Amino acid sequence: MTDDRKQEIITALQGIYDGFEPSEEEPEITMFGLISRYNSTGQNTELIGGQWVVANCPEPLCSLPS
Amino acid sequence: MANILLSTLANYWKTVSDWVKGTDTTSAPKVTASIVGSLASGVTDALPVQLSGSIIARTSPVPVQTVGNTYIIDTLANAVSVAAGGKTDDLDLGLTNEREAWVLVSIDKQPWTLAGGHLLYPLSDGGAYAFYPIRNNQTTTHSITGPCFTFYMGTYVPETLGQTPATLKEAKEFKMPYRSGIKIKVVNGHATDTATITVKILRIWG
Repeated sequence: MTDDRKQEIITALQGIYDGFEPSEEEPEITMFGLISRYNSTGQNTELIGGQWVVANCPEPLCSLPS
Repeated sequence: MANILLSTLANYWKTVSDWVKGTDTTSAPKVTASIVGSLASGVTDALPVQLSGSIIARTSPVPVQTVGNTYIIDTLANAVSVAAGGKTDDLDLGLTNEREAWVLVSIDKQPWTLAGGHLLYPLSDGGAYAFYPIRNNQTTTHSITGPCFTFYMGTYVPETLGQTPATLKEAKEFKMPYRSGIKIKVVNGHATDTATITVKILRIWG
């Protein structure tokens, strides 16, 4: 994966995190919630998951609860 | 300067000597002494003293008293992305001496299948029948806060016992001892979409 693509993914994930609105069913965003939303965009061609986020993303993304 | 007869001085020393030796009980000493601490009366044997180390032999188990159940939840797969028709990597349940083990699956696509090994065949393609309820082409999705709970029986019950448990109570009665090295997997049965899957294991002791 190139650095540009990596940064593109991080930016997309950060956008999902920033746009999250808590609800009764989902009071906080979790790694599952983040990746699920990213998968629904259809952009996850590399099939990254929580492990990739922990290894490559800055806070607070890398510390999201599992 | 005072003059004192030698005979008087000798008498004084004798008085002190008699008192120290206990032969003179009438002379009150100028200094009192007290004993700090004492043994209980009637104690004649030496008291046992544990200085250090363990009184339990190295080869003996350490007795432990537990109150209630103890449990741990471990994450086996953290929001993995599984392509349509694909599966997670093999996940080791990491079983030891748990009384019960439950697999918790969160998944945003359906249908899906939970398969795994068992007592005599630990690999992940052992089928869905070591679990109760059976999760074969399951048509529900599950959030991270509401995962699908499935009891792991440890053996492929229909083959080993010739019957399928009808209730959780029966499933627990059929449960076999857990072994190490059991692998499981979750299959994404959706025809086109990538599934997000988190798998956890609830281990219960006591």
